[in-house]
Amino acid sequence: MTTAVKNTHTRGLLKIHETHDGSHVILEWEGKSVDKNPGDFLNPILARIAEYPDLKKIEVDLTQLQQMNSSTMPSLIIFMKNLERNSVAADFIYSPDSEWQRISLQMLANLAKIIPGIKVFPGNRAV
Amino acid sequence: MRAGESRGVFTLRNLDIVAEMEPVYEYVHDLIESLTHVYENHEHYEGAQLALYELFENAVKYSASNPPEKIRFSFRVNHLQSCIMIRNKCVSIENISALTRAIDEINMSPEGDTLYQARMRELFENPYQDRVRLGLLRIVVEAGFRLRYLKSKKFIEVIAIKKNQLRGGE
Repeated sequence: MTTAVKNTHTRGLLKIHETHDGSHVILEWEGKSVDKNPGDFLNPILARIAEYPDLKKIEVDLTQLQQMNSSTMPSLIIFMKNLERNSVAADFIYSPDSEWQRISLQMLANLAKIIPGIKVFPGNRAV
Repeated sequence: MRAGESRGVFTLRNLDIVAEMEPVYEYVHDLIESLTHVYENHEHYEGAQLALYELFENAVKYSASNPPEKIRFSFRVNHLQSCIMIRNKCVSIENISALTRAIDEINMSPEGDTLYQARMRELFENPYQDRVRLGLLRIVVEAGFRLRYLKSKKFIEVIAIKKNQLRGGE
């Protein structure tokens, strides 16, 4: 039995709560990703997580993300491509109650249809 | 009213702010967060926040910095419409041309979300591009604004307008 490791990555108004339990990771995004260059913060963290040994599945919970600028989108796409390269399955969950999330993340969902193992869908906060 | 009570149910119908500031992203960020803190419960503010971030980000990225030229900004909301205007001096004529071409393309397209999806596919093919070029599309598709512009030499004024839907009792 493994013990879950919890860690929070913070930059400006954005927090990413990471729970790592063996082959399973949950990333809960909270606040706003509105930095001028969000990739400077996000890309190294997400790249490192995608390389965890024995990682099989990631849940990315975006339901508590209040706002995201368009500069954040490439970081999400790069993350998806890294996960695909490492054969890691991923669920990206967004809030159906948020107008901007429904549109932005549906656009991402349309792209994710061609990536094996990656799903983007509306739902409730990961437990 | 004590300061701590200012975030309750919001009843003010009209917002009218005019300001100018140095083209520094941190200043813009602080301004929008101050507005959000006060107006987040305003019935027409939600979509405006997205438009504010995207328009200001463009203005700061492409503003002349040597010497620095202030960004002029107005934000007006009433029960009929929300209107954001941002005027700045660009680094080059090429920046203005790229911006006006992008707005023209969006305005001439019958389906903004088709352009949005096409741009997402381009980003998917190559996410390491210098310019993301999603901001204007998000303002139109996600926040429901229409975009206009006025240009004069190296100055560009971008105007985002949205008709506000009347809600119960109005």
